[in-house]
Amino acid sequence: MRFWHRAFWNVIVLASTVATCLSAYAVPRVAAPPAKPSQAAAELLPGSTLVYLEIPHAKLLLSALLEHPLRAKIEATDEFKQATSTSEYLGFQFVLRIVESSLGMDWRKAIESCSDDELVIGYDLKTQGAVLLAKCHDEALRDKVRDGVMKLVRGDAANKGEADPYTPDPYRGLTAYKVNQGRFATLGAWLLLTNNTDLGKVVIDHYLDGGDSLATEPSFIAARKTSPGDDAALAWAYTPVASLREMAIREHKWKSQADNPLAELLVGGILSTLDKTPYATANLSIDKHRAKIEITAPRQAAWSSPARDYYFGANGQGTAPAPSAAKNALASVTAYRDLGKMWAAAAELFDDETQQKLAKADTDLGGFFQGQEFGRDVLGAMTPEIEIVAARQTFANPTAEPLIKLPGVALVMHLKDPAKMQPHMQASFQSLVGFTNVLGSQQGAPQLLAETEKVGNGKVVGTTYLLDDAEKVKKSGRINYNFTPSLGLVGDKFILSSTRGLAMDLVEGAGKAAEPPSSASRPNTSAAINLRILHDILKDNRAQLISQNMLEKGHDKPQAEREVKLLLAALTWLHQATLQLHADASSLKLELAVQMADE
Amino acid sequence: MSDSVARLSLTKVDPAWAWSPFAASETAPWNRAAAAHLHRRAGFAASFAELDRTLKLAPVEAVDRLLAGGESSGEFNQQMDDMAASTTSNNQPESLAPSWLFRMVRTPFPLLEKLTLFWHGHFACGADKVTETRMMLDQNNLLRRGALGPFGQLTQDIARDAAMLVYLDSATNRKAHPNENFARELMELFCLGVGNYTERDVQELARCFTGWEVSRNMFRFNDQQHDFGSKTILGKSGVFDGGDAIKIVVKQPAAARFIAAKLVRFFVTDDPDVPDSLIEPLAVILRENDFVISHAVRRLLHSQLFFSPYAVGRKIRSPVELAVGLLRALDGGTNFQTLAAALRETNQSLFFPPSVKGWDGGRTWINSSTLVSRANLVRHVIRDAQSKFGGGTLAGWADRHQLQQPEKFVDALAELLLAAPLPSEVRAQLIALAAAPGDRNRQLGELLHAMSTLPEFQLN
Amino acid sequence: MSHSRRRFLANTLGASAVISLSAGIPRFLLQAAESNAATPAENILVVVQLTGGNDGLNTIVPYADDVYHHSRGTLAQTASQVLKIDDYLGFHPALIGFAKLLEDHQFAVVQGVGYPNPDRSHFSSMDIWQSAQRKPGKRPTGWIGRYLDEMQAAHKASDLPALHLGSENRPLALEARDVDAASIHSVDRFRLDRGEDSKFVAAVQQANRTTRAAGNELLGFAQQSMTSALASSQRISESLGKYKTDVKYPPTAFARKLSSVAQLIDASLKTRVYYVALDGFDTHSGQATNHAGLLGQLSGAVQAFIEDIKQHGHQQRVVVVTFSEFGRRVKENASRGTDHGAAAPMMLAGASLKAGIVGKHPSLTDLDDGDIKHHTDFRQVYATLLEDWLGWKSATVLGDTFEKLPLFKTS
Repeated sequence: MRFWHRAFWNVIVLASTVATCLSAYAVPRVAAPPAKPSQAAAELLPGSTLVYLEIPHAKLLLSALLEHPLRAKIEATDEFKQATSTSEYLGFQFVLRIVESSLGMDWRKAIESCSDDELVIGYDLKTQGAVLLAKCHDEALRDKVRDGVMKLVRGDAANKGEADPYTPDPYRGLTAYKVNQGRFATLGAWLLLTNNTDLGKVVIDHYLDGGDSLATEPSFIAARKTSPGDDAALAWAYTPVASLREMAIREHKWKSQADNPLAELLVGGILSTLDKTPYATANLSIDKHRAKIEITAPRQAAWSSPARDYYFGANGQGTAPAPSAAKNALASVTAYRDLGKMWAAAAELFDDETQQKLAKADTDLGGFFQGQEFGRDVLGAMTPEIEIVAARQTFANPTAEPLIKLPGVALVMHLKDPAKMQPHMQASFQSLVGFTNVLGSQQGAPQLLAETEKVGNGKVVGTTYLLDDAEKVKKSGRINYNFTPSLGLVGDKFILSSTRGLAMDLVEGAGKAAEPPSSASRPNTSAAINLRILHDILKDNRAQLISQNMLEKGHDKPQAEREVKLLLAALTWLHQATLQLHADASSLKLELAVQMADE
Repeated sequence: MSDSVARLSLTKVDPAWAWSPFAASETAPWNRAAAAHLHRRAGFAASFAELDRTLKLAPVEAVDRLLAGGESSGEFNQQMDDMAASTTSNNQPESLAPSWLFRMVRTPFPLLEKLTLFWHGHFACGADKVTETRMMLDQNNLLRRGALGPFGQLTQDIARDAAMLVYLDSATNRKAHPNENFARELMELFCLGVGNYTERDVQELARCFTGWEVSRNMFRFNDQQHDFGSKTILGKSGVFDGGDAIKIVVKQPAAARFIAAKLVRFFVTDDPDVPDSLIEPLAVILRENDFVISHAVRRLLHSQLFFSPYAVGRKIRSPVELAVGLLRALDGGTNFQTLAAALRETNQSLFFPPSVKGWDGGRTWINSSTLVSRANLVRHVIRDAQSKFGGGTLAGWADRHQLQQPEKFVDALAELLLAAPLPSEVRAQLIALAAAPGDRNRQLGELLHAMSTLPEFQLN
Repeated sequence: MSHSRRRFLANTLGASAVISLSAGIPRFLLQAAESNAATPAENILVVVQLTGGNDGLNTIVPYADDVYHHSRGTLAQTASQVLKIDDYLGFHPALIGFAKLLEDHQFAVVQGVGYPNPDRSHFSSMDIWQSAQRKPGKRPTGWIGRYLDEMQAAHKASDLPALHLGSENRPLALEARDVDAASIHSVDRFRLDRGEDSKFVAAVQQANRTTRAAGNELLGFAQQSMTSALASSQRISESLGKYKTDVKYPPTAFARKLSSVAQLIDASLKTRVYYVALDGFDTHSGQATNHAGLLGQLSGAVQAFIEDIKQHGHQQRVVVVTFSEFGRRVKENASRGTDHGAAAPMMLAGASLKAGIVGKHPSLTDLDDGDIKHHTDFRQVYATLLEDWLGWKSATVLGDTFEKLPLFKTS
């Protein structure tokens, strides 16, 4: 399959390019300045550095990627075998072998020789330049690689009748070189590579003179203290949010207000932290079972305006509920969001236009709720524990089976006063079904029939399609058949589901969810997607995927089938992807992770 | 025009000669150019392999082969029907065009698709008004099923087609307030042409179709709304219903003439001055053969006129012919979704004809806007990452056919795609474009793009 | 003497002076001289085609007429709904922009426009309006096209003398014997890909100019069209990219077209006639919402356009005129729509107009087969536009002499 062919190809090309570049950019160290005790990269970078990315052990990252079990799985696919038997691939391998034999080591060793210790990438705000600093253990080995590669590159250029690609560009007695748009130099164990002359000079000045640098910036020092131990992270990044913020404010691009309620619900809390926090850090870890990125920023509860209490809870203690148990759950999002409070604080959270829209919605939606005020009376009747669940659906009635099979989606909330609100919710739901039927009948859509059933300890008002004979014969595959809107009521739970099946499931499973761990370690927001179920849903839609593949890529049917097969296979290698947002008294932490499927 | 050469005028052509079977001669030989012309008109241009196959046959066998369709049509049709059906899932009529384009490019039966396109322009219904994707697809399948068969049956079917009923407001044609839209177009645009009926006929005909409704996206006869009274249509009186009315209309002598003239314009020439005397023999063939379309098409394609200078290079290439022909000639495939979008810019959006009159065709295909869009469409196809020619790059395609030199490449494209000879000076100018050193695949693409801006490329 | 008339004479005199001095000078030099001469800007006509048959009765509404209310069961606009013009007529409530323009004395309505023995087929009637030829048979050229041909013959045709902006085919009105009026989708889409590569463009233009063997008229037509397409593309891309406006056009495709026209006018294109269309007026069923939406689009866009050209100082030389192939039947049909009718009003906008209503509203009782009778021939409006606005004799363009209407300010 072309995708994997390309993906793999890109990895190889990237790896070899890095090797070639790193080596090419190395030059003989000049004799002039005496060898100095090696400085940390942060001491070489200016205080105005906006992004600092550090890979403490390049060797480890490389082996984490190359020796990952996924690699074996990719290499086992037919597509990979096909891709690696093409003449292009074999030709590339041939060239690679020549390079390796002239260097006297394989390409991986060549890369490691230049940056086996530490690799740092920085972006500087003042000069708008980027810099890469790589530190090696064995300067002699690095020099050998560098000499070899320079010789190869120069030889190649001479063969093609092109000019010497390396132009000497000395600075303060250090020999630096210009290659294309870039410049490079070696500073002891450090290899310096930059796209900006001024930044290169700053780094060399720091190397020779010391002085104030990124390492002496207070927020960097503070951030450093939070960085994990050597083995915990493969990569660590730092950015001074305060500088970013000042720049954005100068350019009138900073926004601490979301444009719309949905964005506010999703990221309002993050915005309130970014509004005040001095810096943010990120670290990456990869092992056999998962890859994880953690982004952390210092936070103080007092930074958030009281309007955002709806997001974090009054004491910043608001935590997401435990996810419900649903069969074939594709995804779930659980969060602490007090919608009633958000509605009430609209004046502080939103611009005028949005406020007007909310006011209109208040009246319009109120019509469905026996004339109550939507924000105050309906949303206000819910607790802040919110959940959205999506699950694969199976279609029991083959005449009402849609061509494209979408997962069911349900909103799960808790009523503060179930006895009082449940009848209201049921009545509102029934008017909604009636309204849908009136609209649908005008467009010739089949009608919904609503029936109430007792399920477990609760009840479900579920809908099904009322099909006439013509529709049964025609099996029109309408997209509508994905939706059998249903209401579930159990305990204090109020469940609004796009499908009857999911509503039944959630009502039946209520109370069976695992008790959440103590609130201290529970996230404010948590999301997970089950990639195995995603696989199943895509498989349900295999015919659609094949058609789409044919039309988008011009493939014939067998080709399209092969690609879809591989896509489905690739999804079985992974287990789930998760996102968690944690807020505590001193920090805000966003954690993103992908978990591999078990062997 | 200041042409000193007298223009070819069809008014002087002898009808007996025009429609007599094609006999290859020194002035009109049966060669690659003639075979390419046949494929461009009967289908959407041919690849080298198709041309080779065709040239092994006598002209009449080649035409019969085109009319019969290639092997494995059945399996292909099933695949295509499935694919088209799957694209209706989200009820976006725009998603129908890509699968039809795919079908045109890959079909072993291009003449069938060409005629389906003809009928789509003839019984034109626009998805902008119909809105139901499934209805538009059903109509497309209906046109394909009936494309080569009897016109009377096709007209009966289309009159009961849900998309047509919606498009021409038959759905609101009631006893008390007959809606004349469908009745008028049935005579004006579908069967007879202006001048062959009166306003009175329109009103009477409309009464025959009262109560023809759409219910749940399907045809339904509502006897409560049907006018069961006596009507007088085109000189005949009786208690006619819609089916009777269509029979009366299609039996008019003007009907066969009207359809024959439209087929001549579609397959033979854009010349607006085709004399009636030239049309009549084809009309006779239709009348004598139950109005079965394939009889007229067979005679058209295998005729002296079709292979004569009166026909060769006398049509403007439609945008669909341009796009599909390019891909078929070069064994190509591409992203059919973006191709359909690019076609919209050239004023031929499948399933969205500009009006019930369909596409005017001929000279109206090209103007300052569409000409630029046509060249841009060719460039889009060349550059699209998903485009493949013979399964690989354009340079790979050229290599496989030993067309490494720019001059050979230009000559090959001219043979496959151009209906008029390329002046030697222009040929030299094109080749000079590829003279500078550089990436060969890019250069060949540029050559093709430059060719697409030539007047010769606009002819079919 | 009117502003425009004075300017027209100045141009004619200027041009003839150049011609008289220049007998024997090669034509290309003459053209260069003409284009360099400081000629004042000329009047511009913007034609807006309302495709499908606009319901004139529900556009300029006789709200005080009982027959109107009887005939239009569900569609009638009441006295309290319309934007009143006088105690009998009012604008459809969606025509806020037009009402505002009339208030500012920049709007005129010609009542009861049509032609004898009205044809109720969209295509025939549209062809009649566009060709301005009533006789049946072939109508190869349009009224604007013939005007272009005459200008060309008199060596007075400018660069791109007429421009159609829209995705539909170039209208018959612009079809000419000799002049190829440009037709573009949108100004942005007019550029040839690789148009920035001057080497490529030069090569392609050269290949297009190279002489072809005679004998195939269609090839000649394609060659002429392509040459003109490449030239227009180049010119238009050059004149864009510098335009600024504060006017907020409504976010519709139709408004975007008019906004492009305003840009092109300000880019000093020599185009005299711009042509745009708004489709969807064939309201056989469910008319109320659709028609209101279309009228809103129309009047909002025209008002913004007039404001825009005013801001750029062109208001005295731009006039907008609307037409449709027919009006609609007086009586509403069973589908809450209206069927093909006959006479209807034409509307004009611009600062040079004598604002107000021209002619009385036609009778709603004296009908022709259920349709409104015309009292003003559409060719009278054309004649007035040609003579009093574009400064061109109308008799040969229209094939007859038509009595003009008092549309423009006379002092």
